[in-house]
Amino acid sequence: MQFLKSWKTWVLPLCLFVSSAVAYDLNSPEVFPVKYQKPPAHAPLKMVVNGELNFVIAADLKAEQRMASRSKSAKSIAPAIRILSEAIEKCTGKKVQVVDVKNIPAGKNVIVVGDCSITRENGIDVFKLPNQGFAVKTFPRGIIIAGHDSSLIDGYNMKPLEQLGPRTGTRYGAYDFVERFLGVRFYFPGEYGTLTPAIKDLTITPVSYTDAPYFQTRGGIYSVISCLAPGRPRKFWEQWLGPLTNEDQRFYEKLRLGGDLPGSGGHNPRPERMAKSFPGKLKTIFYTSPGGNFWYNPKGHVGNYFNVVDLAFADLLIDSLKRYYDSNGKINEGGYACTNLTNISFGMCDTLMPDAEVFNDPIVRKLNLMTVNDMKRGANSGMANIYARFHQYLAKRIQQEWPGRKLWIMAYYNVRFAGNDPRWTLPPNTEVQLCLGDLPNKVRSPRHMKQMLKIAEEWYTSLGNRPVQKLWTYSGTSPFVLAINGEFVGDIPKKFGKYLGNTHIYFGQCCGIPGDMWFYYYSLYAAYRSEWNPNWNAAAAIDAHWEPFYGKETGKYLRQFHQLLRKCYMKYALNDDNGQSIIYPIPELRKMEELLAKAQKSVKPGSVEEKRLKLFMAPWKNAISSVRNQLSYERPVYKIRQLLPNEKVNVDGKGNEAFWAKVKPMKLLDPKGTGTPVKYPAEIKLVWDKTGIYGFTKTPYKPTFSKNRSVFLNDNFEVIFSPGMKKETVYQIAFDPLNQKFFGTQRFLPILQPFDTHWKAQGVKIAMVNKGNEWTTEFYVPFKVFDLPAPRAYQNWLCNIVRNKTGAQNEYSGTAMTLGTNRNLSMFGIIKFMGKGD
Amino acid sequence: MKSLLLTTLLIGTAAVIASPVQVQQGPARVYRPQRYSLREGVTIANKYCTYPLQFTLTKPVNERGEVFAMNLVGKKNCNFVGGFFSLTVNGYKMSELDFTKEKITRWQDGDRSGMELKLNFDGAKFTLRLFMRPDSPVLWGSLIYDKNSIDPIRKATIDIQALPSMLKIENRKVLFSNAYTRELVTPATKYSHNNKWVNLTPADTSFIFQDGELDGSAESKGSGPCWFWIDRTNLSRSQAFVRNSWKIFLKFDLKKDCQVVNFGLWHPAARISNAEMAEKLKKEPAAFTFK
Repeated sequence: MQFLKSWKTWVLPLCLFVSSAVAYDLNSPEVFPVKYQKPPAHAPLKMVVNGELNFVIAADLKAEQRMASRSKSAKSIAPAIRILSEAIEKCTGKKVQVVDVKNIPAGKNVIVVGDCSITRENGIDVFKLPNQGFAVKTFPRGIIIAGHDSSLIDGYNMKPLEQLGPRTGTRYGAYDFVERFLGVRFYFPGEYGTLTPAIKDLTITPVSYTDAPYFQTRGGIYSVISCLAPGRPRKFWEQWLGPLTNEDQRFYEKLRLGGDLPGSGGHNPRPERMAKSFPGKLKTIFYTSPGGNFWYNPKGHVGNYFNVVDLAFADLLIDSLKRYYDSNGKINEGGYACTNLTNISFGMCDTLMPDAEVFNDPIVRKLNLMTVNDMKRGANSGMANIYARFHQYLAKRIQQEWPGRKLWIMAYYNVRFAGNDPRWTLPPNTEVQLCLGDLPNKVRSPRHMKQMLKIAEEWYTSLGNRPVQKLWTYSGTSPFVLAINGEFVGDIPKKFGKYLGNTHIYFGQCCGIPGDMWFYYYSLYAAYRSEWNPNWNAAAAIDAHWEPFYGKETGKYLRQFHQLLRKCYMKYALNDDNGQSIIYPIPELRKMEELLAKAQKSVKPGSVEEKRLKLFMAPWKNAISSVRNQLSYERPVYKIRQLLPNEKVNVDGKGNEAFWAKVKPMKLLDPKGTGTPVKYPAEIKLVWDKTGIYGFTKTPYKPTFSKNRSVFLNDNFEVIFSPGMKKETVYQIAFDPLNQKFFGTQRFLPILQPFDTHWKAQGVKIAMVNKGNEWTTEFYVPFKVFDLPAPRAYQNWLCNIVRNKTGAQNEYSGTAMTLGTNRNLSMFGIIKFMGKGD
Repeated sequence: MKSLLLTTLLIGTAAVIASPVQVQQGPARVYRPQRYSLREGVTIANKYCTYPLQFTLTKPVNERGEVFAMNLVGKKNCNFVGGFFSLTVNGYKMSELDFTKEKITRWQDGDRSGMELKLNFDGAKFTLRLFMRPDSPVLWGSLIYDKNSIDPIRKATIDIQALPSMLKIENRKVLFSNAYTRELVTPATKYSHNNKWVNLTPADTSFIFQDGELDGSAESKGSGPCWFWIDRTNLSRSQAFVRNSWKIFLKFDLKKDCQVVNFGLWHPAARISNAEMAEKLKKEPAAFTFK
């Protein structure tokens, strides 16, 4: 092995130098490992000779066209030809001729693309390849790239609601060819993101191999498409990626994202659609707690909770689905997505239900659906058997109505744990989509994996010894994690073993639109390509790309920087439980800064490498500042003036009481700790008396809001208090320019409770004046809403006030460096209740 | 730490050369300055003695908010080093109060010179004046109730604490108790170890904080005693706590209608024995009388 390694180190460069006879490495760590078959016996193929193309591209050019009316599928052969043509032109500077297989000119070699007579004559039956798979095989006149293409399958996806994805094996084969043989690398969209080495000579020795994706569906397409959408997202990314077109939105294809399976899982049904379709059945659809809290939010997704305690809701769903199927999807009362001839999905509304809201429900008590032992299994485990009962019933009803159709369930929040009551085992037509939160970031932490494997094992058992088929993972938000966690994605199937099937994996972005994904293109590249093949050596591929992509010296520093990021994560962050709050020691930060400075200094001004470096460098100044600021963070102390006996507040939103002018405003900062000055300041002032806290806010610009949006999607303020300094409880009050309000509370001590969105906050007053270009508010929060007496003078509370400015010029600011987590108590500022006359 | 204290002392000493009473204000030099959000120093000195005062606001740590402290520093080993004077009014401790640099102002009246500190106990306002005069080594003080207060005095207490002579250290371990012979000497009596607060008599107008064994008569016996005087006119109750411990405590409750309380303290610049202090107080009464 050592011999082989050393052999490669000198033979490859030698070959490159002497004649480019074999200017490619079939087993480069940068390309996917594939299954090699015995190569055919023939002479090497001289494809490019002294800069001249000695080949044409040939295909059955009308094959897909012939099938267009008989197959509802994206094309594969035509895109493959385009991929090959573009890459060849970029690498050689020469346009390649594309001909039909019947018209291949004599004396030229040929790249045969897709299924055709030559493909079949050379023993390749594309439909015997795995779905989405492809074969690459040389023959005496050239090389065949052909895959399993649904564009050639008669009747494919033609039934209404079949909802199959395309099988584009040939297209994947074309990408593989240009990467493996031409050395092309697709790192990020736009003109700077692709590496196309110059090729003067290319001789291909006989070879035969096949490949197919490990995961049948590789998720992440939405993130790529939406972050490059025309308008604000595209404009944002053009700053770093250069000019972008709609074609760049298809960059996901280059990362091998996609899949042919019909949709499954997802937030289904949509609560707003259910409410609109069944206005008289809201109590059947949404849960009402024994205390009378009705978990229905007419203005948003979050805040709704389906009534999974009542099986009448399942019956309502089945009836609605019957109308959906009977009308071929035209009657869609639930906004059903991922619901087709194969799968029916049931999800939730991103809302965490406190166990206490359900524990005393009469049905729960009567059937003993929630026990103390259930609650002891882990965070949010109390409802596991409530869901198991509901899922079991729904799956059985589906089996009765549509035999063979599967129920897909979303396992997260209150469904994170599998039911363990033998009464509620899941029928065989149930499949699970699991989201564990800590993946891929903690996949290399034995302690975290132990917990996650236990959960997966319990689902495996609950499914009758069948694996979880779909796993959602998330990128996180810390640049220090984002830059390296893509390399961990490939570990996931290995670590989960038999508990995870190969149906679907998804690597989701956490930073919205336009997000930040391309700043960490190298990690994204690793993550998404690992969805195709988890055995691909992602880390080695990233290590190998720095110098070719940035130049020798710059690439060296960037590789060192990236390796330092890896080392620091493994050393300082892998095993902690601090979420996205990454803290590295100052000496490590200094080393990072030095390497970045050297990289910046070494790059050639005006070069493409400089443009690439601009993208790479973009997040790091703020990221490193943020850690430095965290290390030196001192909770800001805001001294709340106490009203004098003769001072009164009329809570009318005007703020025209004389004393407000004397009150010092709270300082707003970037909660993520970058130290970036706030561009859209807001005046936030607090005063108090022995009955409560009064607040005044003023934004000297037009607020953005819509009556159709919930408080959190409009311009808003979030006022968050935690009485005292012990971090026992947090109370959140949010309001927008329409005076829509949100009240929530969470208890942390003595026992951690879920966030309660049904806090009544009785007595809280909020009034406002919106003058168009200025929005002022006054609010009053009586101490009695905290079930506490008034604080003593000079007492301290924890507090964070968040200002969310929405719209095109959006900005997120706050009075504490909470690292983006608004209820991150450990980073809250302090409010000190001052004495009279202070 | 020691060198820092000495440096502070030297700076303070240098400041007194020019005039009978020198007052110097500036950022306080403190150990581990990163712990403080505010640190202000005022040194009051004359040719007899130097009193470096420090006013600090400690940054919030864990469950504790900011803490205000007024300390006397710069003297090795003993006496009023540390929180020598504190005031609690209507249930609020001085350490809880807000502190800004603006609350300290220079004060001068004739040849008496010093500083004033504004204190607000949720509406009950006071001025604490600390000063020296040229003819006395004493740091004099007046606690003055502000007539513009929003709240009256419902209950107010002055706490005085002093560490006589020295703090014993054995085997690198500080001995906080069971190693001393602490005594509180007044014109009327001598209070010895007693594990409870005792009421003082009207005759107990001034106090020598001393140790019977560590009497300052030699280098090995510490720096000797220190002295405190308080005008009892506006006080309702006075108590002392003397035990076999490092510090001696005094407590004085103010009358509800109290307008001013005058006091003075002296910790000698150099080592002095118990006997020498008694003799000095007897010989120089004018220097130790409030004017």
